[in-house]
Amino acid sequence: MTGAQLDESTTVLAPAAGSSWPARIGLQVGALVVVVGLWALAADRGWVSERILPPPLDVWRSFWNLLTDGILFDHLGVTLWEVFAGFVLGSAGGFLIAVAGSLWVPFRRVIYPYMVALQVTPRVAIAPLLFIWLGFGAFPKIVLAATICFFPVMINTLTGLTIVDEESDELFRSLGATRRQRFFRLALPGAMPVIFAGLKTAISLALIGAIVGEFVSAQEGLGLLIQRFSFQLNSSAAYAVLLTLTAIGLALYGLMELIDRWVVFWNRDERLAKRSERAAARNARAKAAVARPQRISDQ
Amino acid sequence: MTSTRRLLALLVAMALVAAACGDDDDTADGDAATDGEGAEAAADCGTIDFLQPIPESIIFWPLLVGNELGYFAEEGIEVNLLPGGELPETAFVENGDADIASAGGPEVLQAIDAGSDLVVVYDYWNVAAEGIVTLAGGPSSVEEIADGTFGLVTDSDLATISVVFEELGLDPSTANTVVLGESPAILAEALENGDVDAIAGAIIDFIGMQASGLEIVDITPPGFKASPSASFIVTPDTMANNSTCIEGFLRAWAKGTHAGLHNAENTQAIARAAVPEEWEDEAAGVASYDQSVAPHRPVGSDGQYGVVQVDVWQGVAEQLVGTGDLDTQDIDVTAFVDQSLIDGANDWDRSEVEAEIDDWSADG
Repeated sequence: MTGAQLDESTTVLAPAAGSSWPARIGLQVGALVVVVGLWALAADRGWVSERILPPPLDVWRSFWNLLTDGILFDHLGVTLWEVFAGFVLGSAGGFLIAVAGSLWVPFRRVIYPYMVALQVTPRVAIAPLLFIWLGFGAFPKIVLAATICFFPVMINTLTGLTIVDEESDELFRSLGATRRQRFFRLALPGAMPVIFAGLKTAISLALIGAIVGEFVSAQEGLGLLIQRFSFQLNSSAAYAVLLTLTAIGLALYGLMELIDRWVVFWNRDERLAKRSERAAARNARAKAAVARPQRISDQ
Repeated sequence: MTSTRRLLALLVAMALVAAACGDDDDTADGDAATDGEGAEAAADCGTIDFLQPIPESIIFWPLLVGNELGYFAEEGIEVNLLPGGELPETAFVENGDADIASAGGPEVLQAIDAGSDLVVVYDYWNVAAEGIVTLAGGPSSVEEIADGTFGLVTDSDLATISVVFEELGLDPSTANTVVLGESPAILAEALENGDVDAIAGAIIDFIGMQASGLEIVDITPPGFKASPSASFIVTPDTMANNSTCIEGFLRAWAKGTHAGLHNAENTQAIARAAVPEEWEDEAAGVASYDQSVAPHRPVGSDGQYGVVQVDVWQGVAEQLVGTGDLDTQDIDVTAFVDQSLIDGANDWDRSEVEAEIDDWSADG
């Protein structure tokens, strides 16, 4: 996925000009109500077997039981640890390799085909091998998650760092900026929006990696819970865990979105305007502080 | 400058977490079972890495009961369970990740055929985990539905159909089969809707159907049911250097098996406390226990647990040779079966174990 593609998708998903946030939230909640209503109707009328699609109320009851029994929390912690550790490992690896590749072209030429080869190799197929190589426990699942979320960060970082605005680059060069200054003050800030687009994709993929790993071999984790409930044909509990996973995926994506807004503040006009206002206020206060002693001394 | 600092802070945080996750490997390293030092005294066995196909479950209750009643601790053993899932158990015994593993007969035979050096020391499921089921009140034998459609949980279950057809004198190539997948919901629907006449799969596939209230009956011919579906395997090195600890493990397992067969209620209560998620649906938990009772029963006339039935193994090997799954034409199972630990594994007082499980209570 490239930065350009992400920009396009962002444009498509952006709300129409003039639409207020209450209206937007209202539409989103309305869509959810319609989907759940249709689901309840399908279950009630027997259009779909309850074994395959249990009624939403049953799923809610199962979710509540799993929550109050503490079962969900026990397994949630394990899965979240695998997701975060895999994400950090994979994205840090992807970022560092991309930085090295952007700074050193021969390295990029050597490493790039292997990175693509890793990406096109189905990770589900190598999951059992990871357990044979790395043993049991959380580590192979973390590595699996890391290998899955590595690529989007690597490719987005590399794309961002190698596509530098030519005029800005020319300006930096003409002002005698060093290579280090051009990297940290031009290339990296320019690449940050694309890097964060990769990180947002990566965090979702890390969740998938952890769950695939738990499907292969696990003693704990939400993937194992889904398997257990599926084998027992406890469909409502399996759906409850599945929807929990969806909620976790959305929450992780939202978390990355928040970090993105905080770190890449210059990419959003309103954040940039607020920072400018704060900076102007700071400057005004500083000027006033300097002027005050002067007036006192004048007296 | 501020953004650079933020970025650096982010990178440092990433590096710290990455370094921390390098230490996370919950596989125990006790390994007294493989280093040979604990062979003389059971109390020195330490951690035994045990690989079984599924995580803790009522289906393999001897581990749960053995832990709860302290049978493994009595032998000086702490069991580190490695859930194998779809992984090849034989490979993990060979590479030393597992000291002892549970594996199906065909898998062991194929590993031996491929050159693996393994020893079968104990059969704890002497009944095939695979079978053919249909709706209760429907056909009572495979012959009745030989022209019908057989649903397969996975394509490997075609072997079950082939062997059963051959055993009944039917031509396996005439069997009409369709792979349904592993979802018990789809299996139940296909059977109930009449899309298939019977389903070939494993016990674990049938538990869900039974728990959902679908009444099913096993129509697998008795001849097919005699099969080593779960056996304990170790390496020859482990047998040579650490047989005392392995014998202790097997004894604790046998006692747990006996306790579970003797008192279903308390066994289920132990499992309920150990694996609560398996009892989220009480009926499913009970069905899991019910399905696993028959395979756990000892097959020997003297009631000994774990006896390796060499003739049954030989029969399975010949079947696999016949279907082309083994290259070695004259495989000799006595070459990799070692029954020297069976007597020791059964050297305990039945009535004592029965009293212990009867006296057990959830409140301690």
